[in-house]
Amino acid sequence: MPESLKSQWFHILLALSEQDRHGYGIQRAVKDLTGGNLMLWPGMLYRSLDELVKREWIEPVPDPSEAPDERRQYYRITGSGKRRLLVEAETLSHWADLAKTRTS
Amino acid sequence: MNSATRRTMYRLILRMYPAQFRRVYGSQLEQILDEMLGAGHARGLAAIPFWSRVLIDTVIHATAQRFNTRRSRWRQLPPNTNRRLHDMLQDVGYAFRGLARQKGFAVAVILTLGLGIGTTTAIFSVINGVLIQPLPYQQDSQLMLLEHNREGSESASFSPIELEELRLKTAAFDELVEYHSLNFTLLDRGEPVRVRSGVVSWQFFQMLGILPAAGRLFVESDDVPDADAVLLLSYRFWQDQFDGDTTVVGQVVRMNDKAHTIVGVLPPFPHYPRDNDVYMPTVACPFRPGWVPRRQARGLQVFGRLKETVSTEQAELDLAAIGTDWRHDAAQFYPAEAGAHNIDPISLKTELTEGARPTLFALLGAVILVLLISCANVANLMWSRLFHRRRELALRSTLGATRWRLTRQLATESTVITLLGGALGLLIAFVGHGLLVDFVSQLTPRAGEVDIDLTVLGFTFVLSVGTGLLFGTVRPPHGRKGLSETLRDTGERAMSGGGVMRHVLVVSQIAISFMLLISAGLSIRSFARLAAVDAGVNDEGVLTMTLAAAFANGVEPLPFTESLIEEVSASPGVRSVALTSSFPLDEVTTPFSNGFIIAGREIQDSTRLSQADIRIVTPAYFETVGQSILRGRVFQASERGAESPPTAIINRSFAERFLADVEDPTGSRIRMPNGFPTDATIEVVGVATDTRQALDAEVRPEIILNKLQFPQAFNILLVRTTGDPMSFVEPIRTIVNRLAPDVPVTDVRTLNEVRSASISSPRTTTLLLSLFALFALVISATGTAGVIGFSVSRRTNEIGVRMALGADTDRVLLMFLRQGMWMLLMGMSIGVLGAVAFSQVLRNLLFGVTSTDPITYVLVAVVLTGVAVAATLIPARRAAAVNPIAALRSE
Repeated sequence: MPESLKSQWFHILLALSEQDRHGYGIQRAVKDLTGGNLMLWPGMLYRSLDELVKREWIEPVPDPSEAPDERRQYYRITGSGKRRLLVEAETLSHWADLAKTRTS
Repeated sequence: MNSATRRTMYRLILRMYPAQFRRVYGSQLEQILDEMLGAGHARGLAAIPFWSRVLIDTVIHATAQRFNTRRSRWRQLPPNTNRRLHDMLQDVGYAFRGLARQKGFAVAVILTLGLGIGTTTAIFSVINGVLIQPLPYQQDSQLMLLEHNREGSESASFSPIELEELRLKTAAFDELVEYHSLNFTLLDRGEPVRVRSGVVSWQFFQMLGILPAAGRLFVESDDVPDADAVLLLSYRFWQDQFDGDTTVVGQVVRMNDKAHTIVGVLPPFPHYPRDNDVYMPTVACPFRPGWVPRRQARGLQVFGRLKETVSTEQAELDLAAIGTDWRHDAAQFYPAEAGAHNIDPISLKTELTEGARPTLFALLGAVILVLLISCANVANLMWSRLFHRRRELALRSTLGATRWRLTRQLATESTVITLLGGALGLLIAFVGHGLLVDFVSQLTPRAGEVDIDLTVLGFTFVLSVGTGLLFGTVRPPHGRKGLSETLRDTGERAMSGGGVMRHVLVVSQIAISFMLLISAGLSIRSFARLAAVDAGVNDEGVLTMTLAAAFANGVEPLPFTESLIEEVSASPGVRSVALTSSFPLDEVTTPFSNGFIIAGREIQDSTRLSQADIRIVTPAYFETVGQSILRGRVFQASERGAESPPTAIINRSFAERFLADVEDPTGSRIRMPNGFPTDATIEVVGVATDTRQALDAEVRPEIILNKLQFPQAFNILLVRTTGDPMSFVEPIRTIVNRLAPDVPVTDVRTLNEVRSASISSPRTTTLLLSLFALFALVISATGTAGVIGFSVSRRTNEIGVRMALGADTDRVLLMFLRQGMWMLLMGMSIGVLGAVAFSQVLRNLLFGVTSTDPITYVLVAVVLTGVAVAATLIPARRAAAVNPIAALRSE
């Protein structure tokens, strides 16, 4: 079984699996997803993005909006990123099932 | 703090990241911060937690990123570099672990540095912006305000006739322009808007060297009789009311029953004498024509630009000659009792900043002391830490660490901790600066120009951080001893040199604390006196609001006045209602001053007209503000309308000063030679108690007239209520809107708020000085405790011997108490001298307390002694509890 993903990585991948986003967009999406429990302050966010790019799980893409703002760098989840997210989801659901069986 | 400085600051913070990381992510990091700020994460007080989080986040991740980058680079580097980097990383890691172990020490140093750097920078930035930087006007040193030295209204000085004569007679000025200010009602913008309007000569803005932000300034043809009415908008008013819309130029608005064309927008600049919303040329003022024929209608302020070839002294002489002419040629208008009637040119810069000067200097003095005490404390803390680590250092040295290596490690540790302190200082400086600007805006119109001063920031940063580095790295004399000796050393002989230094530091901390405590004590006592002043009114439950009526000729129809009072009185919960021209404690609308004659003692020398404040009120005014009638009666219902014989009520000061020889002042008769508000003789029907216009102002003689007889439209509505006055605002507004739809209701405040606002600036100053003093007191206490504690551990052996030889615990306690008291006495002696000098700076801020108030000195000495004794006893008790056997064995 693979080692589980850092929680901020997991949430970043999750946020990007919905659509391409830029830094602030990711921050907001993660905040919304976690009900405000996970706030990715800029340092944590960009260091995580750096790691994810190095692992080729995400990649920088141009601003898709109609009036591109050149300061906004958008990110897209790659195929291997999606696969990694899926693996993580399966792991988590394995643990979730186990927990449910044992507590029911 | 504006967004440019904020960005600069964030860029500085971002430098913590390795360059490689910054190249890729730098602009994105800036961008996300912009978006977070834009989303309102850091508004108001939330700025403190927000910036702290950003800072902490950056420190953690930048450090981690540096580790990553280094680690990946090592393999490619030459062996020597590799080694050095490795050492450095080891040092940084070691430093962080060390700080984590000694959280108390770390917090103390970081807080001390932060407060020292932050407060000094914030205060000095304000001083730089307000007092040092030139005014944003062209050739600011040539700009003068002319002051007519006389009793009466403080701001307005000259009549139109006098200005004309000044223009003719003086050659010292390129330009003399006039200014006065009134409140008008602007229509055609949905709700009627109350606007503060500056009325100025057409050359006014050209003289200041101001260029329009949009449209044009006034030109000569705007300021001739029958010219079309034109308006200039202030920048802020343009932003607030017109959303910065540039098509506003050319629009027409209605004001004073006249259509005004907006011809231009002014740039943002400090408005003086007050922050106006719009400006109009002199011909547009509906009141000014009434002043033109009257020499004493002194409603104008006069500004001038000195000719470049003329010195201030020459201008003074020139103006003095005109003053002499006036007193000679038109003596009846320049009564000697009403002042010397000199005309003085005052530099506009002085005038603009005078209100803030004493407060700012006092605060500057205080923060310099705070900075000094911070440096002393950091030095002390750093040094004592080095002492505690001497054995560790010696041990590492024996194990092969070179001297250079150890010094570098100490330097790294000191750098890490002082930089963290410096970062906190930055934060405090930026936050404190924002709060201070609000405070200073009560004192000077220049507050808007204040920006954080990077030079001062740099200076305080280098000074404090430098102190930390110096004392944290340069090892005190014991470091030079032989290794084996240090290792064996138990402390007794270890730190003789450093010990003296630490005593000096603590003595200076006590001295500085004494000075700061005195300044705080004086200002607390002064504030208490000020707040306890009886203004002669009952300020509970009274609502005040301005009704900006725009009636023809400035006269309010009697039916309006009476039905307004009747309807408001009928509202449930209202106890009494009055309309008045002014009311006590109000700093915005003050009573106007007028010369009068008491009938039956027509004086030969008409230059000696006595002056009194005039208030025009409706009968229930006295009941509403809580002013009692000492003799006679209030106005009666029959006294209404222009036909009834005019009556007045005087205050006690008036009676004592001008009618002391009459047994009963009621029945006396008064006349106003200038015919305002009436030529008729007025009968005094009552004497009321005294009230004050400001808590720190003298009581002035007052003539109170009946508004139902003199229906001038200066309207402030006062309502005494049961319960919360603010809950009456909406019902009253509804009544006013129904009776007079064009009349806006403004300046809604309770009398209590008016009183509180009038002392908000001394309150803030007192609060700041008290915080500084408290900070200093805490530092002195920890400093004293630290030094005594240090002696205790150094002398454990000696104590053991003494106790073994029969000394009891009291003797041991006394031994340390003596040491503590010696430092206290030294510190206090220096402190008294310093405090006497420093309190001179405070002198102008004090009310009812002298700067050498003995009670304050005694109280401060008692407090400081108490704290010092406690700070001495706590470590000394540890000494007294020493077990002689254990102490001797520890050798």
